[in-house]
Amino acid sequence: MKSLLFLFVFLPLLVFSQETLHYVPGRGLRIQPIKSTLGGYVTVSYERSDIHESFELDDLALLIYGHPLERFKYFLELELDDLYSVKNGKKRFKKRIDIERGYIEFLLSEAFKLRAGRFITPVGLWNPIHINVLKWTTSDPLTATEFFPKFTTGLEVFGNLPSDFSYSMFAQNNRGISEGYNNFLTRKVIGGELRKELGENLKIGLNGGWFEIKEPEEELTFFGTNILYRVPKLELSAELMYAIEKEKYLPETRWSYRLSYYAQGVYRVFRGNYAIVRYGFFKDKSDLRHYRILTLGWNFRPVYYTAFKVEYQLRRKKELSTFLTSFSWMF
Amino acid sequence: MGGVIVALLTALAVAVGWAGDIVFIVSKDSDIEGITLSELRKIYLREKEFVGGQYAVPVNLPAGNPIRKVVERKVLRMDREELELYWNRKYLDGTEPPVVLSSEKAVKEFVRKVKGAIGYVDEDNLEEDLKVIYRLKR
Repeated sequence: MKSLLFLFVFLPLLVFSQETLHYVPGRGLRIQPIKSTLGGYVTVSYERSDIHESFELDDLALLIYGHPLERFKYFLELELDDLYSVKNGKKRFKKRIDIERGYIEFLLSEAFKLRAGRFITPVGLWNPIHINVLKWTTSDPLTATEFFPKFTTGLEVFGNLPSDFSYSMFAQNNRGISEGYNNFLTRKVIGGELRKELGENLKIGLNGGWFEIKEPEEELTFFGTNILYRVPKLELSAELMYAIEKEKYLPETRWSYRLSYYAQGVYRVFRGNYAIVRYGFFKDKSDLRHYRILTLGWNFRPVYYTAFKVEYQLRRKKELSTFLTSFSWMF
Repeated sequence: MGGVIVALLTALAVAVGWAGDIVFIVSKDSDIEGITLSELRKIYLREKEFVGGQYAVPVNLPAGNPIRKVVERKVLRMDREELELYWNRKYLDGTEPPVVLSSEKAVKEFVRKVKGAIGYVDEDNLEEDLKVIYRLKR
């Protein structure tokens, strides 16, 4: 992995002359001879509740991507996740490098583009923007973490269709790249999402899929819908996810379900300052988890390539109410 | 010094409404005959990559150029902060923003040479070997 890191990250800096390199803060280093960009991001976060306290230097990611041929793209993102953390007083230093994303893409037409490798599972509004610096809040709603794997290693077909429709379909039937670095350990996934733009300001999406979890051995069939409304200074969004869970060795009649939704409003109060309100609900019948979370947050962006966030999650059980803050920076 | 005077005069012309329409152009040989405002918006936001089967290469004038400001306001319909947040996401998704060229002359040269290139200039600077695919009122 270290040689891969050297090959993709440091070698271009040594090989190409200064004139062909152009750096823009937050937009990476453009390497013109290979029509590629080298960049990354980093996040520092802190979380505290009555029963938990943690500080993490996480998401130190390096990425290189390019579009060397008209119909061919590539993307590689190497990540040191939880590089240094202190959780309830326990210090931990992790040296493992994971491949967060690594894929090639063929652009056959506007309606048919093919991606192969490890990619972000194209489901919902939140999952495709799960990188801290892009998110409005440090925390994620449970619609993005409990219903489908965040990453898929396989094939994706996607594109734009007439009448402002777009779609993504994905499938995996193999071991995953960096498979331990995912929210579910899975080797079989299939799913898709259909989206429709209703004018410039409104988008809706419908999704569904199925996947098999290795440990514990379970199958989840999920369905969801989402809506995004955006006008200057204001963004309103909502997602709903429902999944049927079946344990592999139990009779067909023994199944359970989980349900989650959230509604979020983001308002630009003044330049670089955003107020966020989100209400989220989650219920899992199989393990009796049941949450209602009201999140109040503030996102401050002094320059476009940084984000400083604070939020407070109010929960019914006071000891679970949590304060979170993070600083993230793109380079 | 000359450049500053030209920029000031251009800004003045725009302010008092003397400047012509903005025309979106392609090479005369291009298969693209016309385009809608919605398609143009998606091409400049890199959400649409092909027009009529041809890979599209949108070209921008530098940030701060008065023509580009009109395009951002009337075509993209986003202010600078919204655009910066939008391109943050695209950057981390592996999508480059449109190529930036220094002048209208450079845009015209690029459009002539690169198949699929789409640029914009003031209609007063239009030349015969370029095809207009969309006309934007200021």
